[in-house]
Amino acid sequence: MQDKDKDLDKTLNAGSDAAMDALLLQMAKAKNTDSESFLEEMEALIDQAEEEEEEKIVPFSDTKVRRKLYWRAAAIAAVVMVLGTIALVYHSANSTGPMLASYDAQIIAHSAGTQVEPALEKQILTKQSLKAAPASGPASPSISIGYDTDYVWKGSQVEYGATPPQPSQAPKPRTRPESTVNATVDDRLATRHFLGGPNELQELNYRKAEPKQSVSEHTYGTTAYEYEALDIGASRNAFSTSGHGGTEFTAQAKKQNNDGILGGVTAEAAGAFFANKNESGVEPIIGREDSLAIRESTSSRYGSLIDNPWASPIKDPLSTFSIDVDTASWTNVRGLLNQGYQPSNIDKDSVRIEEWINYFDWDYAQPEGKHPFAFATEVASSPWNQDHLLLRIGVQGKEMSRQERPRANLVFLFDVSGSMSSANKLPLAKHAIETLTEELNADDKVTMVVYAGSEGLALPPTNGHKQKPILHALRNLNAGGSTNGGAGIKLAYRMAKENYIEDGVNRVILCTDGDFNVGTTSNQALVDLVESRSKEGVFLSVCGFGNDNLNDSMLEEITNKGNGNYYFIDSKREARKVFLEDLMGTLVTIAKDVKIQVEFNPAQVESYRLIGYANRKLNAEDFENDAIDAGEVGSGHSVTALYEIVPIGGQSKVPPELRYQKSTEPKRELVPSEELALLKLRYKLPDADTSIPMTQPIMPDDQSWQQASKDYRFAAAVAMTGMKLRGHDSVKNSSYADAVKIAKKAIGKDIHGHKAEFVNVINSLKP
Amino acid sequence: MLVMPEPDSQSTQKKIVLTRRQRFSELMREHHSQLLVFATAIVKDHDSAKDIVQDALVTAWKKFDQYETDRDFGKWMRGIIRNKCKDWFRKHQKDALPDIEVVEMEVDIESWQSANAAGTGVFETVEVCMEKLPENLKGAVDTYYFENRDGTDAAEQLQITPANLRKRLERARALLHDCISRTIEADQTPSNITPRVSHAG
Repeated sequence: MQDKDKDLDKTLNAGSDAAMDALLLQMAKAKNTDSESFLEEMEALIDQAEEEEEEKIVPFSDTKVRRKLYWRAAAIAAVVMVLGTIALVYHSANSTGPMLASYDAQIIAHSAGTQVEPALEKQILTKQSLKAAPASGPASPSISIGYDTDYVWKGSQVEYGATPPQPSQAPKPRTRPESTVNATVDDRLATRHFLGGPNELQELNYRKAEPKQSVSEHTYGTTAYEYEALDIGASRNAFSTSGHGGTEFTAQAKKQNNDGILGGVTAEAAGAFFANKNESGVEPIIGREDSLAIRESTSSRYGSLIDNPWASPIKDPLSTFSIDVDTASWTNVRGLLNQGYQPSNIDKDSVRIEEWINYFDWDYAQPEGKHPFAFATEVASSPWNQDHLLLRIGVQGKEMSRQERPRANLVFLFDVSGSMSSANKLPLAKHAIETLTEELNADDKVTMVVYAGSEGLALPPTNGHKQKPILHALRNLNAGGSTNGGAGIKLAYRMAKENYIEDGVNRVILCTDGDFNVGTTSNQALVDLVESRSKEGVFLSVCGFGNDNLNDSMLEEITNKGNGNYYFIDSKREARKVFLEDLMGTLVTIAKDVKIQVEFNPAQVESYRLIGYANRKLNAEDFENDAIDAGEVGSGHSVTALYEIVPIGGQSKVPPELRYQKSTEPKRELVPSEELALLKLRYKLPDADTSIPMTQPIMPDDQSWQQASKDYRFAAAVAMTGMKLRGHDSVKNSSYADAVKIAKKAIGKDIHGHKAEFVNVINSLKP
Repeated sequence: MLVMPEPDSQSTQKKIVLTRRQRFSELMREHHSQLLVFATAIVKDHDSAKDIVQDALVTAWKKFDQYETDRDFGKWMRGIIRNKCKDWFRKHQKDALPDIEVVEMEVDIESWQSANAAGTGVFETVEVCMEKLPENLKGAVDTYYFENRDGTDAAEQLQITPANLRKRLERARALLHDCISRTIEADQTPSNITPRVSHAG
């Protein structure tokens, strides 16, 4: 009906004289006092923009740095941080003996020869608590960092606070500034990196821990310093900066998994991250894996994912990640492919392989016994590389029947901004919720909140069996206005809390296209809010609509940390899947903070790589740390992870030779074992604070992938397709047709037809 | 390089920010209507246009120190809006309006804006012109635009077919457009500002 009206309206004002049409429309709106409310909204938005602007300027405001130089300053700060880090490593290596951390730094700083005025530079140095002497003489060092850097820093000569190394011992490295580093440290961050921390010593099954100081000799003199720690697969972080001509600068870092993804990192924050306090024996660990950077400066709305690299079980025996039951990525990409997009047009960062795999129904056995989870592991050769193995780890969550469903307190939060008006957004959302309300009964509570220019209560808390007022409120929702997501979310949580049901389902369900673009609270603030509420027992589901405007990375980010699910709904059929077929999983949480850790046996595994989960990786020490949040699992949800493995004797994928260490042989004694790996899982019951562990060893298996189960083969085909879309090297010899061939024969019991649909969609792709 | 005056203290800085802000608010108040008309004319959807104009104004505010006071704010903003509209078309996977059409509309809207600046206000001109429309056309415009009905509703209300309504609206808009152009020209030519080159015919 509505669509028809829309079409008619289009013809009514199409063709002749769009300007006149617009003028009349605007005149009508102005008469309805729309004009005043527009201006009011506008003032609020400008206020917000101003606040954001001021926040950005704060670090430099007292130094009177001109705004135009702001990003440049940030780029310089990044360089200073790197110097700080190098200096610290250098310094501590000299004064406090061998360091413990596995230090694997990669800094990418593209900046087209940005040069900095000495005065400004000095300010920044001061800001970073680096003592810098003013430029002395023409011999200022010109420092270039890393192989990937064309960043030249010309400036003051600075010197080490500690006794500088003897020149004879240490020929002057190209990257080493003579600098005084008296750096402050962000203690919070640093503590996490402190490799002597309480959660640090993990039980290793395959080898006995040695004293940590077993660091091989190191020499100085070149650009890179590598400190090898033989204890754990150390945490990795990434900090990458890029500036173009000094005008555009994107500094993004994923500090820690548990910190969520940072949006733009201010120079100061980044400075704190990189600055170091030597006395505490603390240093940040910087690496390239596990990073998720969001470029806010471009129109791209997908966070950029960097796949987990190959790892060696000797250096990094533990692979730890947070569970992810989201499915949005497949739905989203499927929509694009159905619209005729070819792989080259798909943003590769919209492909999150783990979400693709999770989308499908798997034939895993239901858990028996006291735990709400069952494991389903399988090993076979990899379909894309016969020399490799593929390990599938399936985790099946307990399915609760509908009769067992606890009472529900559901707060729907609708985005009714102008952009939601298309048929595949608000109207579809209304349809989806209508589907859901049929399932509700008198014990349940439904509340509806809208947000747009101003947030408001569209339906006060109402019992679930009162269909009439619910449907009435639902039908009265109309799109129009701009978006202030932050205020709406707050109101929704307040309503959820006021109507809290003990032992029940308390959930905010956000329906949006995620277009938070006209200024709102920062992503981080939203993430913090969601995270803190989930601790109080109110969970979040996000339903994304319409892929034209979808702020995918933002929605994923919100649900990543804040115990929530993220669905993407592109059709009535998908709405049925989420709100009817998987309703129990959507609503009922059976466990939260679910983490998986796999320990690989160096006697069986040469190298391994986790497929997908690029932004879900946790630090090894976070596994047993109950303060670290992780994913939530709903009733009947299953989670599947795939590892590609180079078996022992195969060609290692990890760069072999280290210049400063004699060999890669383990220093620790190996415990003889036939096992391939040990699978460990930790979960908390929805209202508990302490986690419960589960473990299961995984034995090797020499079956070929053709002999493996249908579940295994289909998952492999999905992974292969995803990797191909992401442009992985490892699948460059396979085609989409290969994936289709494998998947076709592995469809099996496909009650809802999702697997057959996958085959159809992929079949249409050109190789 | 752009050099901003360096204030002596924080308080003066605040003051400068305030006046900039006030100036921006004034410009916004003065121009928002024509900007909405412009964006609506391009994307043909008032709600989206509102989003676009808001977005453009936020962008403009962020770049306000680059704005030179002697420039036409409307023109500057329309430049930003044109780009935002292009983004919008891309996002919505629609073909953008040909540049030539946008330029034509801009010429119209600019002239309406000048009427606005001259004090009479283009809305008042529209109202005057509305009175001159034949009854059935005026009825169509009133029902469809000013009573805020959708097409089906408006056609029902007027007891005509949608096709008929479309015709009436088309004619009404053409007449109104013509009337407005004449009125503005008449206002301007004798005493005011610059004579405007009129379209042939």
